[in-house]
Amino acid sequence: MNNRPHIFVDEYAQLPLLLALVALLLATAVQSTLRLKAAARLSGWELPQRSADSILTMISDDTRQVVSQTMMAKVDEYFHGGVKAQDCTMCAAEESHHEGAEDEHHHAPAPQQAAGLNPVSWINSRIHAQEHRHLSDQRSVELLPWVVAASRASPHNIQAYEVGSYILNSMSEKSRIAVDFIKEGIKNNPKSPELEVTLGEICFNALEDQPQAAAAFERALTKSLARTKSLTEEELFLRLKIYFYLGRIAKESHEIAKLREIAQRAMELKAENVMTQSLAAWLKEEENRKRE
Amino acid sequence: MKIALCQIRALIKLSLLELYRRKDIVVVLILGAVLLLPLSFVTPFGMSGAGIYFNEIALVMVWLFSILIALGVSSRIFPHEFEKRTIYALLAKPASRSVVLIGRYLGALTAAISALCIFYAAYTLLCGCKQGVWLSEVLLQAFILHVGLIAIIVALGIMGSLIMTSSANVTLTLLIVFGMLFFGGRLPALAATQSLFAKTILYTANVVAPHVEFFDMRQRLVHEWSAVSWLVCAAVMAYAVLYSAAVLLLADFFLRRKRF
Repeated sequence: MNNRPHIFVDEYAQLPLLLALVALLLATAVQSTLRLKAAARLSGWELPQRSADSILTMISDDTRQVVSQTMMAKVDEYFHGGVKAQDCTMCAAEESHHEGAEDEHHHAPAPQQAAGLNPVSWINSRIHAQEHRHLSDQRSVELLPWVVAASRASPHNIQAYEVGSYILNSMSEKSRIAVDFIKEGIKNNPKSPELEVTLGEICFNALEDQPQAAAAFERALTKSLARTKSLTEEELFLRLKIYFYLGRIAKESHEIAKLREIAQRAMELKAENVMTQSLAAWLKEEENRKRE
Repeated sequence: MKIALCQIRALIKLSLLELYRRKDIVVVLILGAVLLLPLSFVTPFGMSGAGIYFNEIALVMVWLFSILIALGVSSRIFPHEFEKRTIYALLAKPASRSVVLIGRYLGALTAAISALCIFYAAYTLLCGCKQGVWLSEVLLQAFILHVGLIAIIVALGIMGSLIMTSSANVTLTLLIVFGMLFFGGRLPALAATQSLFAKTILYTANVVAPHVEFFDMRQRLVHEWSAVSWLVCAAVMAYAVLYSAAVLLLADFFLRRKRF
């Protein structure tokens, strides 16, 4: 008599069944990835997903991108004295002067307001600092290890190069090193107009090297115009910024025809923007100067 | 009473000997050194002076290793006794089950705290050499609160070892500890936005689960914030003592009901 327990699926059928299941899971993964990418393309999301030839490369690139972004979150945390954005009790109120604040400063905490009467929140608000504080420029070197790690984790993390060059140029006053770092970013991300703009800004404002700045802004414009899809708000602002700097360089070298063309293009993009208005004002100024 | 104290002292000595005989600390110290020494020479863009990242990674290791040592020591005490049948010899001395439990708890706690002292000494030495800051009030508070955390983890490990298998005990305790470390502080806010059922579960977890995040002074220590009030420290330590006592009472209940 056969004492083996009855099994619904024959043992020999288990392997193909398992293979079919794995294939189904893979197909679902590929389909959802493609759907996600299509949705991202349509809505203009900034997802960590990167296009690649194979799914393994894509997963590996995405993982590196996520790790890199986590490291960049660490940079933000360090800049705010180890306080995460979601834990900061004063951040909403501080938003208004966040941009201009460069020095180390902090404000009295409002733990009662944050914690209410809950003893857990009360103790947590005392143990974990929740005040708003910025790292001073002198200590900006503390941010650099994470910036370097983020750019090594994913060389396609544009934000890492932008933030890193800002820290080096504006906080540490090491503009030459910032230029080298941003050039490394451009080499790794040849299609990015953002990095070219950053390079141009450093050359124009910090190094006062107009020819190199002009070349960087020209390259940025070419890369920006190569983006065929409809412009997002950030991309529009970036292109206006490129026109603004190109116009400024044209004004300083008294190239009225070029300035007129740039101002015209900016007008077509967004006439009411302050940078477009600056371009129009410069054009008027230059025309008056020529007439005189 | 005097006999019980002698028995407890003997049990503490046994636990200490066991920890240092197993050389767990040596292994984690070597691992820590291998990971930290190359990091201490990092000079991004040739600029020296960055120390916060090093402090943070070193403290993460101190936390991780101390939790693993505390859990390792506490979770293998009773299963080992039951397996080798040495529990019979202990109970036949005669030592009551409560005395054995308290002795074993204090033994594991002493062993884990001694390991913690070594870790903090190594941390102070590394950070002192790198940044020139040796001792501070925040460091003292961080150490004291860390001892409170270890007291809770050892109690949880011992209780778990009486009702679960070793692997289940270690996994579940680690899940609870790290879950509460990362999300414990947000439980009240999270509960407030949930439906009645989820709210009840989250509020229960908020009351029952150990608030490990109370003992985490890493942010203050690493980012050079000021020390907290000693009253707050005392309140957190009182919480640690009460929580450990409650867990040990439960463990005593399980040990009394246990049939060997």
